[in-house]
Amino acid sequence: MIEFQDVSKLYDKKTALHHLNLKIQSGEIVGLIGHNGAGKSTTIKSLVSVINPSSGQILVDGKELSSNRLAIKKKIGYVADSPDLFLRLTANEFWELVASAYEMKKNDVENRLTELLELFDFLEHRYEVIESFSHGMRQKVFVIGALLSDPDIWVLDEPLTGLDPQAAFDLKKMMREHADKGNTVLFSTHVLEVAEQLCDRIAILKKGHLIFFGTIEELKAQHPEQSLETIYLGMAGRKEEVSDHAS
Amino acid sequence: MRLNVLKHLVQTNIIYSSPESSLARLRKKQAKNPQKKMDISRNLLFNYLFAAGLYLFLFGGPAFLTPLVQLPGQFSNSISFFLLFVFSQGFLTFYNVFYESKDLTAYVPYAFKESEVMTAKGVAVLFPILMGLLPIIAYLLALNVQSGQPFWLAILIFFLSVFLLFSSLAGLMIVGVHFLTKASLFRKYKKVISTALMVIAYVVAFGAIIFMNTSVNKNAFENIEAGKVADQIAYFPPVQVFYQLAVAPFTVESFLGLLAWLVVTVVLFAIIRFKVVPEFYQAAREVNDIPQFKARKTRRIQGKIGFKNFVWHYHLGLVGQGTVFLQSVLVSAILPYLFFMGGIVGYMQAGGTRFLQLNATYLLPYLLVTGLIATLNCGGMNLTTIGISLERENFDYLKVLPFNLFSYLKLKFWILVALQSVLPLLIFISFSIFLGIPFYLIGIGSIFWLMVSIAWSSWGFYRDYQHLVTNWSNVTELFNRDNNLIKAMIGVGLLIISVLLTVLSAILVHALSNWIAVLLGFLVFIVFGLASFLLYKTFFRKLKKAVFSDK
Repeated sequence: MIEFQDVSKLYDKKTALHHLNLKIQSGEIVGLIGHNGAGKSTTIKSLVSVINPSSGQILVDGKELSSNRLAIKKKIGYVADSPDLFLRLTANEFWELVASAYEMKKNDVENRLTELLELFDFLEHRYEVIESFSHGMRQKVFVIGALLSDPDIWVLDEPLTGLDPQAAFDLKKMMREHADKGNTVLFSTHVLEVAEQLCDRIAILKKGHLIFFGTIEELKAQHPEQSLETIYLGMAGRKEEVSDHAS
Repeated sequence: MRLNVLKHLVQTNIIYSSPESSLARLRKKQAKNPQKKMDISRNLLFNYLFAAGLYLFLFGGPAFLTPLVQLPGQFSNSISFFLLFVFSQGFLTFYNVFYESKDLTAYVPYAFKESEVMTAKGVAVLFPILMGLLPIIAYLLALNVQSGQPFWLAILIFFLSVFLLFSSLAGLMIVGVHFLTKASLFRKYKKVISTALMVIAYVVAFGAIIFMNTSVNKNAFENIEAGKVADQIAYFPPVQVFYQLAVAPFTVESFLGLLAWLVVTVVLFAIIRFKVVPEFYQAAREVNDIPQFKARKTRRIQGKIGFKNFVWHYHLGLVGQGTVFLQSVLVSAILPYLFFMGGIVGYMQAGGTRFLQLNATYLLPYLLVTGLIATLNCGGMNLTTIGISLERENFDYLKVLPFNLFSYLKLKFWILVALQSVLPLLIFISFSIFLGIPFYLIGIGSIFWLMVSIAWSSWGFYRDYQHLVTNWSNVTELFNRDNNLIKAMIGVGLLIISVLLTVLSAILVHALSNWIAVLLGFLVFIVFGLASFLLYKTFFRKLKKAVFSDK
């Protein structure tokens, strides 16, 4: 279980996250939805220790993040919003580095890699430099890296961006299967259809504030006979667009 | 600390601390066999150890064959220059590995400890500076072996010297980089300052090696033969403490010197312990997170916005990027003069203010030297060699626009030639004036420089089009395209032949009558002029063909 308790993040004088309270249960997929700058990436980066919250605390399986970083990191597989990392390494060098951090055995790394490489159709690119890859291929490298150690919690920032339709389909299927085994998946997306199709619950953020957290059904029940897009824009978008959509 | 994690982190950081060209060569090798794993970090490590061994053999070995006890100046200067070499290379590597690699944030989400990441980076910094550290160790060991002190004392002083020198050097490096990266000026002009650092590091390292080879004191050898201590000035007196410590450890001078070094080391470590360590990781991460591309104010174009005016301003913007200007204009402008540095220093030490009273008789060797300078200025590391690639994806977009691409390229070429020529020509003219060369010769030399430069530039411009790279990450990568060992060897060979021909020409004109020597000079001028024109025409004909066949 992941719990954000009154988490805020300030950049200079700008509030990126405003007293966030969010409880994500094991076995569910939660989607973070919001416009650019709404606080999705800040929420995710706080959970994976890339940034430290200005106030509040984050608990993972009851343990406080700031005092149990290494143990909590070992439970998390993370895909960053931009896959432009470790560009000088080959894909294989990157995976070996990640596997060492999770203290995986050589045989386990090889078996798991073979499985993931076949799934993501990446076998022939294993020893190529990440810098030479397209955006979608880089995304695959980091998705494979995140899934390599088979962590309990998947934290994925825009994971489907740039993936080809087959890889996107496979990843969505894997996310569902992972959650069904009692694990947790937290991901951010701009695509409402993906959220509708995949999420058990969604969290809608607007300018750092959590404005809705619940199931899609609960959201739709509050706004009967409206599409998800209309509801979302009504909550997070500009007013004139909402009236256009509504009419 | 987990050893396996450390091993992988060190391997990763060796890749990040390596020069782009070495890495590119190994990656190319890997690309030829894409299904087979190649241990790049091991190869890089082997390269470092090989270079360190070579430096130890070339520079450290002679220390054991030299009577260092009689040469305090040479001992101090050798150590000083290697310290300078290590400091310049180490400062740069340290900065690259800890700050410029931009990977500190990237490690954070993964299950690494901060201490593991930092230790691995520290180890990775060590390898590139090993080739400077080993000769220092050799000099200290050789002096202490020769000092005539009891064995246990000599060894003790040797280890104490190594500890003091290396710990204060490491301390200075860490404190220097840390405070530099915290300075607001650095944060504002990060890209420019980091490139300047790189340039300075290379110039200092290169200069130190040349200095080492040229600053030999002839009087010293006469004194050695007489059995005296040879008197040679120590350029960096604090290093002489280690000489005193080895030959006369129980004197007031040695004690005070030792105390001074200890104080410096302790102060540096106190700064590191109480100031640097608590904020190091955060500071490094903050530098990583400084946005690389900031919105720039656009220059307002004065007057009518014609095509030529637009292209001129567009190229000023391209060249105005810190790294491009420093590496393709500044470095290539200075490079040839580094070769002459040793000679100039020797000449100045001999009390000279005028080099030679050259006259028209020496036109031929002067032109050949000018040709050499122009080749080093424009033969591979200049603006025209990277000008088209500088445009990145813009160039593909320009192909779509309704104008004559070849005319655009021609205009671009001349703009780049103009931009790249100002500084080298100014240096060339100043250098010639400094050497007391008559103005009419300087005028002819300047024209000759332009002719040779245009020939090289045409070649480089066509080569850039042929090997166009739009997704480059740094300028060095562009310079190293299509390079290999054989071509480099041929280049060095040709350079040596050119130097020999220049020397021979000086001897030849000395033997000839004045008017034949002048005639020969003008003949060479005309031949080079024609050759330059033909090369320009040939490469632009090829370029035109390539541009039209691409359509």
